[in-house]
Amino acid sequence: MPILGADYTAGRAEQGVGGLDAALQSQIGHKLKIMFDQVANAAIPDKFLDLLDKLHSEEKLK
Amino acid sequence: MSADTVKEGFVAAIPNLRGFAVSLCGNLEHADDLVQETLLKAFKNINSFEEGTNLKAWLFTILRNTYFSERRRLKREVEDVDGLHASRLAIHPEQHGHMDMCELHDALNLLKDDQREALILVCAAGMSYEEAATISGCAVGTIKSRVNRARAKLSEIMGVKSPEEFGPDAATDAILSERGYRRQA
Repeated sequence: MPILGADYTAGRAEQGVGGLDAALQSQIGHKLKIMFDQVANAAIPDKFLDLLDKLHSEEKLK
Repeated sequence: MSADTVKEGFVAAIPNLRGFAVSLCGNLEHADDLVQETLLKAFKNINSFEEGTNLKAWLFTILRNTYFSERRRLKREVEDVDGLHASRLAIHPEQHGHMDMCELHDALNLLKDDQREALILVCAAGMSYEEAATISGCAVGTIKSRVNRARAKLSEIMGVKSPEEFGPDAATDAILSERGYRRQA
């Protein structure tokens, strides 16, 4: 999926949408992605898996 | 939809839900509470999910609604004292320039809620404008406009006018990371 959305990936020239330099827009997107991925790439805490196991078991008993 | 399929879908969505939640609220502990509440609500209301549609987007919608409801409730109870919310911000410094990330997160929290949400969904979570519009309950054009305004505001808040001031770009980051030069916190 596009990180910066269709407008950016369509390859707008140096001046990007919203008046910002396209390279700067790209950098902002890159930094946000790093921040997001720091958490998204971490292992899923057991508490969530335990919770889903519990909910799943309850659902199967219904 | 079988219970097994639901569980698998939920497990697969958890990493992105956590990323979205922490980007919204700025605190990992709070983010995990939001994810937990989202999973509970989603399981309880699974019958309202339309099979064959986007489960991830549906879960993101529940999470953002939960977050904004909570924000509205808290705002009614206590007006946030300047800096109180910011002082609670904490993201894990595992990799990549901790200070840069904290600075970015602080700046992100100064954006309007709707702009921050749009920017996170499209630029960080990799959602299309259409998906982001569905999640936020607004028009695609509105999302585009919010993303543009958010990017401009973010660079203004951080006083950044050129990409170089923002640190290494994606390609340089990849090389630094590969060679083990990535800056540690």
